[in-house]
Amino acid sequence: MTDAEKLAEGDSTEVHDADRPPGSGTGTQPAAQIETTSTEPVLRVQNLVKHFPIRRGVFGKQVGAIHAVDDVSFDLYAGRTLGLVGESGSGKTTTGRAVIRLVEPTAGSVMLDGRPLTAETRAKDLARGMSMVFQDPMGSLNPRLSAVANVAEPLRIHKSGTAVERRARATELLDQVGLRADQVERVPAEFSGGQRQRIGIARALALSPKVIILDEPASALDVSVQAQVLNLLRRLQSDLGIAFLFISHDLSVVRHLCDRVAVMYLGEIVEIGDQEQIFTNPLHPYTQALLSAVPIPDPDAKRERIVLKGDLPSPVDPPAGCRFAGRCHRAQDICDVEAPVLKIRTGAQPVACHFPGPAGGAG
Amino acid sequence: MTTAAKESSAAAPVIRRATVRRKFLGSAPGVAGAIVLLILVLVAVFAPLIAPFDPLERAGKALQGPSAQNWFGTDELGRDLFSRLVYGTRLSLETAAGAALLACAVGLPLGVLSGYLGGWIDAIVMRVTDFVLAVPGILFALVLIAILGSGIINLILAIGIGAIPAFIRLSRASTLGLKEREYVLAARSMGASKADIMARTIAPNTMGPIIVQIIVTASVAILAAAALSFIGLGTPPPAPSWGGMLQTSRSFLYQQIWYAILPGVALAITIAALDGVGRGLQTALGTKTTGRAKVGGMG
Amino acid sequence: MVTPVLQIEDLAVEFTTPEGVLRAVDGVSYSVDAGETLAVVGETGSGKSVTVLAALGLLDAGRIVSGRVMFDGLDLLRLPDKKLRRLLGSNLTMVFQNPMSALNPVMTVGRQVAETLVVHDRKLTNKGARGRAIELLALVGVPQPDVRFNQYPHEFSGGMCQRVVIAMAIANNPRVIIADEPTTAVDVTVQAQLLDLLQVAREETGAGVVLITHDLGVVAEVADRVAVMYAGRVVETAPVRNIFRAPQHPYTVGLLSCLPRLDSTVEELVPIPGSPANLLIRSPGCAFQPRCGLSADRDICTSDRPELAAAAADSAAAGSWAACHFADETTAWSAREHLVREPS
Repeated sequence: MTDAEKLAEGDSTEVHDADRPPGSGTGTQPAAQIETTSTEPVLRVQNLVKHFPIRRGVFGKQVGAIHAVDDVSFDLYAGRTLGLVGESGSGKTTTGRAVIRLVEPTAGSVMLDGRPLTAETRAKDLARGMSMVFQDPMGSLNPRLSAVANVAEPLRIHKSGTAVERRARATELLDQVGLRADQVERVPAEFSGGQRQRIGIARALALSPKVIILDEPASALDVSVQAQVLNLLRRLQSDLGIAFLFISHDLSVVRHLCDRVAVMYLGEIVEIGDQEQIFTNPLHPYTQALLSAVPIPDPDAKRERIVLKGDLPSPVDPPAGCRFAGRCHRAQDICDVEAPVLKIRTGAQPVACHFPGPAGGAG
Repeated sequence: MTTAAKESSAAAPVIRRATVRRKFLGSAPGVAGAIVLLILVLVAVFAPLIAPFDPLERAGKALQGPSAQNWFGTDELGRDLFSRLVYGTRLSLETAAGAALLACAVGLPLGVLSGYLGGWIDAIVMRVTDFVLAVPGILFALVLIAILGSGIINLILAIGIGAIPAFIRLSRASTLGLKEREYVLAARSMGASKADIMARTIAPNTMGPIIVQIIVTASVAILAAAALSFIGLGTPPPAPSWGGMLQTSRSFLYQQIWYAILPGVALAITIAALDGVGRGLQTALGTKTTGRAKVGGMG
Repeated sequence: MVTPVLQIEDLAVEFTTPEGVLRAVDGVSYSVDAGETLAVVGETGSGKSVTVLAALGLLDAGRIVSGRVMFDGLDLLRLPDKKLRRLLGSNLTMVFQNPMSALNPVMTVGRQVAETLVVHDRKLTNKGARGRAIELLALVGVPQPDVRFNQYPHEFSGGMCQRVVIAMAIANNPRVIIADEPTTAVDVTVQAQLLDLLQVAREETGAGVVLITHDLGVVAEVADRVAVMYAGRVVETAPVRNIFRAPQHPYTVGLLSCLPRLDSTVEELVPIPGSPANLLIRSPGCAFQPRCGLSADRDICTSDRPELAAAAADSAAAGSWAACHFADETTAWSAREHLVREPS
């Protein structure tokens, strides 16, 4: 019996590394990808934890901690997109920032291209492998620098080439994202929102990274412009083979862009699987509630909506058992006592729930 | 929900060079001040060409009224008042520029450093700043000159050092706001060092209020220099300082009234011009500075 | 025959900016009936928010160039300030995007609701107002309303705050509720609850609801009728099914085709080319023309501005009005270009 079969049969082996390499024989990956990608993930995140200490008093004594990210693990493969979805307070943004070390993780490991990133890894070395695109295209560009200077910034920081070469490369990158050469001297304020985000994407491409973390890159844009940016991202990925960690609250966008999806709730991944699995056969009651709440642009689409009880619990003192139990319609006694681990129980994808199952089912 | 109107107001805090220029040109005090200031600067730079006489040499009889030869008359030693005023402009602007740039050159980096790094550096810088601010500016300058002695360099040092805290506070406050901005995060995500982020990303973006502060400091410095010269602690005679001229002229009010009035008028015009430029810049950059009240006590 | 409770006619609003005069609203007309939800859809700069702010006299900057806003036989634009204010908050109420800024942070939530009641009904006693306020809080789904009556806005989550704002909006049995992106700032699960609540509010009061939104999913969920705005003009107005099944304006088609959807997948989205219209430049023709695939550079699109015209009564789009010279070609064009996606 292979490991995969054991998992599929509901063996209680924990799935830490919740993603499986494409073509590893589990039958869930399209055969076409077997030859095209290596079996080593380009980004491997294991047991990532980020707690923000809460300090009080004159001496800054720590009185508690915000559990922003708790025990998050996933793999990301070259040329693929992993979506990290959740509502505000789910920890998806902190996860992204901890991976690229904009915040220092409390625990856990991040491997980039087979090499572990540690606190000693120089920021410059890290930035060569991984870059980031932010939500607010206006706020994330230096307002005093022209478009071409903004894109050349990473090259300058890494002392790559002469100033003239850097400009040429930046102009080339801007062309790649659809900005004309006669526009590159303008400052960010003189561009539209969509164009600014193109500049942000060009900047993220500058050091030819293996992984780009995209934190809500299209959320601040109008829908007509959002589509342009999403298409651009798809094209860049297929041309350059970059892996995307795509952080978003917009499930429709995630479905469109992502190969795999991890659903986060209060700092934890509650379900992770292929896009098709998550969207057509979600197993976790939270994923089901989340999907049922998304308004469908079709007046004839009538769906059963699962209404969640109450509010998100405080991340300062998260519930001892399952963090979702207080709002879950399937919760039973064990849920308040024992935290479910992320593993395959029924169905195809790992889920952190004692009673997983299709929506409406008894579980 | 962003509407057209909100879109344009959302763009307001962003410094757009073309918009700044247009807004400045739309501000009457700004334009008037800038023109007068430009004239004053030209007068200072080309003083040897403009002044008909050497400001330190005798050019006629003492204490004469205006005449074709001595346009503004002469002082008690027979020196040409017009020439002395022209060279006085140079002296005043040198003091102002020197003090303001010194204060900015020291205050801006310290403020950015203090705000961005925080911790013990911030604690030390802020305590020293508080200490300097606790002493009235003019007293501070008096003490420094008492220690250093008089002369234009020492005058610049005395006034400039007293103005540093305002720059520290201003740039530190801007830095605290800026360091949470996404473009600073973005710079960090590109692997930029702290020094690089402070120099390339933060400092340039604090420049709006800093420029206004430079203008304010310049006008305060001119008044302070005049006040110090008036009590004999500024640039020592025979230098043609406006403050010094005001002081000496008091003894000759009945003989040569212009001797007393003209340095005062020159002083007032310069201060008004700087104030106009400062207000125009505030309108154009959309910044308000409290620096005026802070160091205003010096004048 | 229902008469509209609120009717905006030919409203035009201009802003003077450093770059020139900007016409944010350019001859907008729409109306809402009692008990009906009209969704006003548009992107940034479409003028959808400015229209209602101008209609209710809430515009700070800007100048109303022309138009009438009829409510109860009165033209709101020509009403004395005092009379208009008496209508606002009682007969005409608004729900804004950010509930936190709509509530006074230093006053208890309950008192704010009670005050809304007292302002418009002087005879109400303190005790009566408190009782009615608690009823309202219960109605909008605030748990333990008698306890939460005494709490401050910061003790409420964003979604709960928006419930309180809705309670204030329905407190005086309004005839029109205008909701400006009421769910944009909240999470999707909370949005679902708030949309349900708006429906309840409408049924409780029988008011006409104007819902301003950029989200076509929200439109499909709650609207009876839709007005699509582009560059300060209404380009299409139609019953909600028509908008999704037989859009008549190329812009509406574009909005639908560029949308990533939860209920189906496509290889590539079809974005609307170009950038939103620059309102500083007024062309004599159709503002959408530079981005329009249907126009195909036909002269009339750049020379004549299209007005809203009714679709043929025997077509699938009966009841729709579109401001397009070639609205009758839209259906065939979008089918040819594969711009219509059949829902799975």
